[in-house]
Amino acid sequence: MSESLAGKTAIVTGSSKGIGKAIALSLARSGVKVTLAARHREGLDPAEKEIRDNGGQCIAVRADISEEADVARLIETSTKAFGTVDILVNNAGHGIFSKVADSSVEEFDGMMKVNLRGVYLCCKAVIPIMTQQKSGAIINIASLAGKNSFVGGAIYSATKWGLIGFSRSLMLEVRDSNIRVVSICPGSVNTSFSDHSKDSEKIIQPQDVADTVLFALSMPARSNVSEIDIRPTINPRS
Amino acid sequence: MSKSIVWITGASRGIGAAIASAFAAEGAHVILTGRDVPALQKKSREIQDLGGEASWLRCDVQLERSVNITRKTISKKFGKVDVLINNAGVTYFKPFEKTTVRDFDHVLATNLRGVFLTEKSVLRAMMKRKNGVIVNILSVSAITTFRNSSAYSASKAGALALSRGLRAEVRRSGVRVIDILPGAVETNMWDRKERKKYHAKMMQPEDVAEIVVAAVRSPKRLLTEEIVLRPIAGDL
Repeated sequence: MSESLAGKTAIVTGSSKGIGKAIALSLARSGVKVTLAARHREGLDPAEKEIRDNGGQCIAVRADISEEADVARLIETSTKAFGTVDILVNNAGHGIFSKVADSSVEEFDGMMKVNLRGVYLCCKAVIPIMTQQKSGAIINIASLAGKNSFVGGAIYSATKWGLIGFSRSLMLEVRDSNIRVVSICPGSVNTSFSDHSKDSEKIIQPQDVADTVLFALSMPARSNVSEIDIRPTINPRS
Repeated sequence: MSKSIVWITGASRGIGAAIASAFAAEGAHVILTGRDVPALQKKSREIQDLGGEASWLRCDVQLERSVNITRKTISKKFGKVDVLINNAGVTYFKPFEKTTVRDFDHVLATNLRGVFLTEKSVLRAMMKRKNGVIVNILSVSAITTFRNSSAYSASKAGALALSRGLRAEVRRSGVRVIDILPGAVETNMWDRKERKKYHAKMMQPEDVAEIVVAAVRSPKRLLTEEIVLRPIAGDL
């Protein structure tokens, strides 16, 4: 029922560290040929080496996804290396948390550019490829900040609410072409508890999000998991 | 999953039966409950014939007494409930104007009050053991507007709110509450004419079952809270 990922190709944005890197490593372990993308070269090299040392196939492209030309080059380099794009993971994200009154216009523009414009540009670039091959998956790493509200999160929340809205509409547009659009909403910002403990049991780990990406990608062919909300169970005693 | 006790309501057919088969294939002991005894027997035998461990009990989730007796019988005969799957559900596809008070009561009593009763019956033991999973098979109608489904949508939206509240209360006790919100699945909730017309667009019960098993199997420290599941081929 579920499709195997081996032999597929993926682009993961923001993959030089954190969640993006964990996703890229997990995909590579499943036999996916991965294109790593990030703004800075220095983080990309170790990530690329780690995947190759583990027997995975990957290339790394330096790209600022909020720039149209960079996105075009990213997709071109990736398709030249691996033939096509089966999976796009829009993971690159930018968050600065401050009250609106204390925020700067540069902060607003910076978050909008990466969290929304960047996702739009990447989707726009891969949809023709996926439409032509009548298959594909777009995974957007949103956030539970895209469903909840909290002090200091107005701008970040706005980008993630926007991203979820974008994903929902895009899903309706492209599913006829057998393209899945999935929003994964990790609860990295927990608004219902004042206790922001650094206890690792209580905070989502990059690998948890990576596992959820694989979970969403391995679903039965007839179904499209369109949204998944994940948070730590919070069980300090386990 | 091996040796886990998984109680599935509404398990005689459709999504519930598929979930029972899927957990049995993972080595769980599945307890199928519902109102249709011959269908429960048939499905249980089918699982047993494939080498799975299955038992069945008659249970009407509308009745508090029936739910409590079922839970007690499971504990006594088979062991503590590790996983509860609230799958039993009913609907009437009718405009609001044609929906009778009886229809409304039946839908709410099964889809909302039934979930409350089964959850309540297993909760104390799960919290004491600091372990347990409750999965609610809801519907996208809990978050999307459809015609001819007002009572059904109300029951599912109510069950979603109930679950969210319960989850917030029990997550620190290590009890995980997972909500699955599927779009159209080909079951006999739909009449034959619609199933024929929309067959290509509908998901199959096995698709939902696979997702439920995957969500329950995810590491205990990570809680997959809500999963929205739509047919890739488009809405009806």
